[in-house]
Amino acid sequence: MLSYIGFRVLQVIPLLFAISVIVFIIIQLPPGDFLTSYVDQLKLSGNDVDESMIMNLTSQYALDKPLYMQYFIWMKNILLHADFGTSFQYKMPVSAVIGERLLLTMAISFISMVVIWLIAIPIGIYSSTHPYSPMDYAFSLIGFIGLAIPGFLIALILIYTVYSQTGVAITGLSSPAYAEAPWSMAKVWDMVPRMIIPVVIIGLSGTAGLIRVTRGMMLDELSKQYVTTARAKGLSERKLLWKYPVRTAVNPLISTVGWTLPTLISGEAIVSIVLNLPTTGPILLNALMVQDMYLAGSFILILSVLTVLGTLLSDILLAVLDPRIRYGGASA
Amino acid sequence: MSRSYETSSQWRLMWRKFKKHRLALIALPLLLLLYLTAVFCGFLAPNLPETRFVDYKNSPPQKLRFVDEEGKFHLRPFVYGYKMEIDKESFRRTFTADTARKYPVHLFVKGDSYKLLGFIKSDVHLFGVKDGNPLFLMGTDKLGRDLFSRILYGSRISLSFGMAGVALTLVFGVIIGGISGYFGGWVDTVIQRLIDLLISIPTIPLWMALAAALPRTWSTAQLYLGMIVIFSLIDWTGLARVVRGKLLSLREEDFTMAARLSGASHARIIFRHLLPSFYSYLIVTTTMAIPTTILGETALSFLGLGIQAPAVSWGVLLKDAQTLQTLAHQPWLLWPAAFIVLTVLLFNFLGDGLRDAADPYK
Amino acid sequence: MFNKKSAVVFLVLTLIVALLAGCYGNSANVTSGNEPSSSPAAGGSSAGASPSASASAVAAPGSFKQSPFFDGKSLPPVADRLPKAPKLTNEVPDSFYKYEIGTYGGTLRTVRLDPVNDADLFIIQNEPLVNTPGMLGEEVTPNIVQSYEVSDDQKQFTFTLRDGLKWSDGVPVTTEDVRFAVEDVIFNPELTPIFPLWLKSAADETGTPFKFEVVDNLTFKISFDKPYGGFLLQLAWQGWRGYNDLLKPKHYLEKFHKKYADPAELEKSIKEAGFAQGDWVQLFTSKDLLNTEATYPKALGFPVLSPYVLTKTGDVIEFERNPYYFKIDAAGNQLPYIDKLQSTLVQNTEMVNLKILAGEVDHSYEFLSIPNVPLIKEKESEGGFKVYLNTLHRTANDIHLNLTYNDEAWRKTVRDVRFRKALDLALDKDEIADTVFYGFAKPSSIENTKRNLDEANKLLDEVGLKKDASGYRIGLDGKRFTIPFEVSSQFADFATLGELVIEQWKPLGIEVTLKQIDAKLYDTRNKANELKATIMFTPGPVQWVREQWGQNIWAPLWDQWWNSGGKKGEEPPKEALELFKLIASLRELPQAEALKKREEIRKNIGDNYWYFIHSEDIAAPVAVNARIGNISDTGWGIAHNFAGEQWFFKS
Repeated sequence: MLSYIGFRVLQVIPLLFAISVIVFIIIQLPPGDFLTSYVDQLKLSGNDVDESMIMNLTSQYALDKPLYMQYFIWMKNILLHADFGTSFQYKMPVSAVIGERLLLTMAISFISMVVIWLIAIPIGIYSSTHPYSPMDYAFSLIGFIGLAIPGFLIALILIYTVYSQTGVAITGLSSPAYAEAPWSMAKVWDMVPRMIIPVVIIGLSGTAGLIRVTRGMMLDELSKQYVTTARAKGLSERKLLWKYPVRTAVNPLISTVGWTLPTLISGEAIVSIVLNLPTTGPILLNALMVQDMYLAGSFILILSVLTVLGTLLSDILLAVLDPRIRYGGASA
Repeated sequence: MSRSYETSSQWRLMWRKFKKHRLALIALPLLLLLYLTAVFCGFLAPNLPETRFVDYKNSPPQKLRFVDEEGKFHLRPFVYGYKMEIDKESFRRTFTADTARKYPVHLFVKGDSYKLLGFIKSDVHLFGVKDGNPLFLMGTDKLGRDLFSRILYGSRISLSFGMAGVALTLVFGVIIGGISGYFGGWVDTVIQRLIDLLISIPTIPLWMALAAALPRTWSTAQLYLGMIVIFSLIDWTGLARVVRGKLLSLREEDFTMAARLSGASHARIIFRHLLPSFYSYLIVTTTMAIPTTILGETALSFLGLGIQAPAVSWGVLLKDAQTLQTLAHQPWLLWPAAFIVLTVLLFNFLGDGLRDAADPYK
Repeated sequence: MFNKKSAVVFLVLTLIVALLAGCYGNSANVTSGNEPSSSPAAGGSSAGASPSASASAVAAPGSFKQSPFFDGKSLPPVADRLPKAPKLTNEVPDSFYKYEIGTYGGTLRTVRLDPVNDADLFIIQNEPLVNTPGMLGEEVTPNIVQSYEVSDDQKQFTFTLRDGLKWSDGVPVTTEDVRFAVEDVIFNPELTPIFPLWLKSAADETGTPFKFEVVDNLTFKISFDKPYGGFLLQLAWQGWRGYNDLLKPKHYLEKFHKKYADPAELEKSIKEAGFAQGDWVQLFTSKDLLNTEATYPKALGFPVLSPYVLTKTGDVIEFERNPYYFKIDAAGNQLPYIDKLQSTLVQNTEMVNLKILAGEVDHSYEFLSIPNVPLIKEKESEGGFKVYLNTLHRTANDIHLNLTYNDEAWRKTVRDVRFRKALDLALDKDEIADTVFYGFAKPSSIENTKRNLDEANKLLDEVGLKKDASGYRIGLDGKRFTIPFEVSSQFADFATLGELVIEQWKPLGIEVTLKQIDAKLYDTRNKANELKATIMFTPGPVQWVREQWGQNIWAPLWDQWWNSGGKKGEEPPKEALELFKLIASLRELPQAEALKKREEIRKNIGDNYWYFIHSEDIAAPVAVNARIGNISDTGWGIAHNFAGEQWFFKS
């Protein structure tokens, strides 16, 4: 077990390195980004304060050094000092800007994932055991529609509908009374109803997708010989279903965490922008709009690293559940 | 000789299976219709997308009528002109049908000139009212432009984006996946790690970052191409995996060995012998990828990171509609959303049908 | 009926209490009043500046009251916290509304789109040394200072600070703070490398810096070697000037100043702040709070004279009332009435609108645009707010082409006045007023108002811009001539106008593109001279006092040349130089003459089409909590905003 975990962890290291290189390339991409424009502006006004400011920026971002040196300095600051640089917009260290927002992003993504599982797997199992029944059709139609409606589109419509029907405006994750309150059970409780809209929207397409996958896997499983055999031997339908096919079909689903998580974080980004959630999405968009590329890059880096770690955890979890992977995995 | 028989029979089997999927069967002609509309939008749209009717800003859709104010029935449909007033108290523009101005709708009307397919100059529109009078089936936007015509013109970018994006993805996916699966070994390992890498970066933030990095001096056409490249650069991984998986199993088959022994080049073996054996899979995967791409373009345009006004795409049009003001007072501006949802839905139906059909023996 | 009656009773009681307090210095209300607390409220002298009518009509309050917010906070009594002669508020003229004595309490909630900057709160917080009621520029009255005196030759200005005026941390304000701001900051070439033009005796190369003299602990003199009649207006209103150009809390800032700080301590602070060794200039700049930075994180702990003190930064910015604020109302209540300010960061203007609709915003001026008003007005009673329609204190969205952009072919074309005239002739200003402002604006009379496409096309032919096969005009460099608008995404009307202008200029064969960029990026690119064409508002065409006619947008390099006295940037051509001089000359003239001179500015712009001012008399909607008193729809919206300390929540 330990050797498997060790192997997976080792595998992750080059991946993280490659991600950081890609993110650095993205940071370097835009011509006329904020930093460049800012330095140009300072040069143009050209007084002493600005001269020293330019020198400061130059040394901070190693602008006078070759690209690979810039990369190493950037990485060194992050790894050794957890220093992601300073946000031009917020006039604060990037790490201070990110803090709580990252937590909320992860929380919302995680809750969405749990909700998706709770809804999609039972429906998928039902659909597979009642294929081509009216309910199966109804579920797949709903699923199709869920896939077809862009989240950002219904986000505002939902908010407006809630407002015009009830007079309640959902303008963030906390009601104004709790917005600035320290964390407490009451605050979390206050958040729950406000989480519904984002979770529903973020989960919409994921649920539709997972229903299809579950249904497909279950159908495959149910058509296998052992099921027929078991049924022929008189095993009760319920026991038959839950004891074998569901377990084998759900197991690989755990491994889908790896690709579900980035999708959810992706979806969360856009929905949060429309819904004004205090998460990472809006900040990322802002940073990109201002072309504050170091801030934007840091975000993508952190989100990617979290995704990789999430996948790693799900792999390990899977290995715990399924001995075949534990023993076969290391050689694959 | 025998191979052509085999293939035709496979296609025929697929078609038979496909026909059973009723939703897919409906989706196919409807999608064709949508794409034809995009191609002939100049002819089909009663107005040009940029023509402003200055007295009709934010005007609601006109009703096509057959019965006039005196209760008389007309075979030829007509619309009423609008009287517009700005209420200085509520700040609202109110429109009331002006029964004194009746504009009959004609077929093949002469109107503003446009270029069909980009080079045939014409001023005939399939339908419209005469003498440059207004006809707004879906209302107008804040500058007084006909939304229906704008949606038709916007479909050119939005619909073709899905196709072009996926086409490029297909090229990347097949080539890279093909190389990976056919050669195996360290090439395969490198490519697989690359795919792992791309998959672990959340897609939309990555799209956003790359789209934001496109130079702001670029024209709409350049932006459009740039966005397509970005999409396919990120999106090819899924396809490459499918191709690789298939190739890995196929390259062990006897016919591959036979081809290799008879001295066929790698490229020839891959493209001539291996790929055709899973065309159907490619088609399914591609069809399923188109709606994702269309939604992606819409989302980026909506966020202001992709194509921007004055270019017309469904995403750009939707950006206008995403205000509370619109939802409350100009809901007709949401029409582009209906087109997006419809298109995506149809592609999903089609993809579903194709997937069932792709495995005709099941 | 009842309300009216109780108001009268209250007034009578107040008067009695005031009289009593006046008679017996140590009455219950003025507890430890060592100082006599009844002195005339605001006393200006000379130069056409007398205390405003409202101030002199009311009997000077003899006792002072404080907000219950301070009860039990172990502060000195309110009479000791106020200066000996507090300022009787006069920010809004009687013609705007009838002043009501307010009640204390509540939190004023605003929203903002920028992470650190809340424009609405900045205006409330802004306090100049002297002010001009209603922002009209008709008269100047003392604000932070107790009085001022102007010599007959308009060269010497003597200011007296309010005795007992204190920073928000309780430290007295003296001329030492002024001396610090002048000698150690303005005259320190490291901190101020380019001497500010407005502090020179003339706006051209003949101008010399002002002379500064401390008379005593409270009095200081500023003198110029030439008459400078508009100096007081410069202090009161020009470019949102706050007190802090000439008045800085020395006790707070000296520890960051090389001249005063202990070198080892200073180096430690520099290191903590993350600047390069010895870079005290950056450290100082990062600590010194300018008035425009009122809501920035660095305001935390910074002593101010404004009505509120920053107590919390982050997504929600919070302010609490300043215990030492120097203004009172006619009943002797220390202002402001409202105890707290709270500004919430939201992601987009739709969230602003939703929060207004939900009644979660008490005041929003900056982000409410005319196209959004119909919905907001519809929900007034449900949300408990009210939309006031004031006049906009500036234009809304003028069209600028950068005449100093670094591209020879571009420069040659856009600097040709025929080219600019052609573009103006192609604008349909009636359509703009109708589309962008729903008719709540008038076409501007500064430039040509009649649309004439034939003449415009003829002019463009004369300029030498030939049309290619597809009907687009070719620039002088042989490439298609394109005007690429980059506009700030902060204001939705910029993009609307941009789309319209693209269409209106299309018949000229000119390709116009439009891109929305973030407000901050816009700002940086503008200053870096990287914008070719843009849309932005300017205050000059609306307020006679203001000198900003967009020079820094349509000609950043010329503007820089002018402001640096020829050291930076590029020298403007004759006609432009004339305009710069005309604008600068306003500052030396009294109002009547300045208004005449202003006609010349308008004519110069009308002749040269430096930039396109299409609309005037624009409505400015503002959404305000319906319970807020002392606000109306008369006058400039921003003038009400400026008098935010007088707002109160009616019960």
